[in-house]
Amino acid sequence: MTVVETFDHPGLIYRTFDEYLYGTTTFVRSAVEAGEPVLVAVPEPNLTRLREALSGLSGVDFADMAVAGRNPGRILPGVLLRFAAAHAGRRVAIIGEPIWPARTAVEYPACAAHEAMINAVFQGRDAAILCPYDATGLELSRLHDAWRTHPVMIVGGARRPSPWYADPFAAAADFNRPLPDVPAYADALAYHDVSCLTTIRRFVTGRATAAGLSADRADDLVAAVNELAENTLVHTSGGGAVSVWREPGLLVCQIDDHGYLADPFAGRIPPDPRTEGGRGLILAHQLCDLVRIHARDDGTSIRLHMGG
Amino acid sequence: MIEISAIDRLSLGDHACVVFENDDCRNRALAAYIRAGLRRQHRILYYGDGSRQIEDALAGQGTDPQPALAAGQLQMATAETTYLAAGHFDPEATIDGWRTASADAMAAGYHGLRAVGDMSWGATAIPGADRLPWYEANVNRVFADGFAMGICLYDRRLFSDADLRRVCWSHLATVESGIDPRVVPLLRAIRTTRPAGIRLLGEADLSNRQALRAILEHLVDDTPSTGEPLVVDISELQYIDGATVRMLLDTAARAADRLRVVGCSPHMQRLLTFNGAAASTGLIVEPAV
Repeated sequence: MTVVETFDHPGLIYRTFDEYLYGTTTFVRSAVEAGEPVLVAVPEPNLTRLREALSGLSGVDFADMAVAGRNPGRILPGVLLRFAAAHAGRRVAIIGEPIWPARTAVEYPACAAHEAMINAVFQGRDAAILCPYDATGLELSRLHDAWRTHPVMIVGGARRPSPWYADPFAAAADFNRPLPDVPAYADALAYHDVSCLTTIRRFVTGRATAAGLSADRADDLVAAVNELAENTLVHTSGGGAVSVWREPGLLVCQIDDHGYLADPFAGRIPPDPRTEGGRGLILAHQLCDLVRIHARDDGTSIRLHMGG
Repeated sequence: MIEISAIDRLSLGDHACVVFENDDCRNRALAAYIRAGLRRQHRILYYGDGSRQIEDALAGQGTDPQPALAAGQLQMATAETTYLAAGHFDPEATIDGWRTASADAMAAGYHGLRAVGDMSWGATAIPGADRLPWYEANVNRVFADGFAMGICLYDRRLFSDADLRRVCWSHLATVESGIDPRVVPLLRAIRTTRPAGIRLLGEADLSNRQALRAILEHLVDDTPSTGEPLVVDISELQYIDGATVRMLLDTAARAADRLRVVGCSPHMQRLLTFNGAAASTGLIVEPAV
């Protein structure tokens, strides 16, 4: 039996915008010619320029990756898998640019883990996902990582297999990095049973309001924290702690417990609508600007960012 | 120690799990609950042991229970001589018994029915005791009518933490030592007739999920059909979690004349959308005004 590799996940290294334009429009035009639905999910200013360059083509959807994928953890469930599901039964072509120079050091490991897990989640699916990397703006180490998370790379217009491509789970595990310490000035609240959930919600609402978050954003953050704390109560034998503090331009919330998050797919694939469970993390990804997870044998830390 | 002010915040329609640490705490909470019922012209039915101690606690709080006992406004009996008299626990029959007691209290001119059960027998090997969480969840459907209310007394010394957790989650509210009275009751669910449906007030989360699930799973059966969509009014719900949103979607799928969820904040609308509301043909989502 021959195994046909239906999933294609090339990284596109570009130095100039012409190189970007050539690599991306070639990809889009050949997909459109093949009758495949196309999604272009890239940040500005690339989005506007690409939209102009492709203006004559029909069947191409656009999304601002800095919005739809502001939280890299929601790109798989909320952008890539959603687009594939909307065109079930057809091969889809997607340009996904999740990593750009302004991605912070706290965001980046979640971005790189996302790139690695695309290979596992889309294995066997009929899809092509092209990921452009800005070689002039990105740190060298981030370009090195692209060679590990993409089986194929396009450099100088030439496509070749990456000799450094790594097993997706091993690569993702490598980006499972410790979080920066919770600052000493953070407010913290320990929880241990279900009666604490309402206390947690009041605590987070109060801090979110004091930090100037809108009522709507505060509601979103509270919902994310509630779901994650519920996970602690349902899936672990102990309790946990919620810490909240401000950083410039955002409110940060961290949930620490003694559970072990073993499933590398957790939060990356929308659960079967007929089953309960496995949805808390997906919801947190959807609502928050960043969800960074550090899973250890003796505990899990989940950090949430919420901008104003 | 349980704050009496927490007990005083309960009203008709409520169903609360009261977890007590010792007999003194239990009797004080009970006396406060009974006194409030006497003041409000409610009939009070107590099933459990220690009626003498309760009478003493009432007298200690300045209330002579004898006139109410003589008039039948306050009735006290043990569980063993009433709903457990057949030697086993029959949850369906017990729930029917509460419906009958509600109708009787209404016919007798009382303004409401206050039920109290000491559930200590639940820690024994009585046949049917394993169905206690099911009973506690489904008896909410009686209280949701809004004429009756109930508190269930659980002795922390008799039940394991796991068993207590299971029964607490089957009540809309839990009152225990150290609880902030301001969050009592955490959730209320009161049926409405025009439009036909239910109004939710407070916070719906893991702590009351099984109670609300029983109400919502049977909402279609428990509501006389009017040919109009059923209405779940969540305008006074301060918090709704993801699992509850999915319960609303399941209810919509069962409603022959569709389900209107009214009073949705932007956040609640996002939760509904996230959980697939757009694909639910039986669901009508209306924003808060």
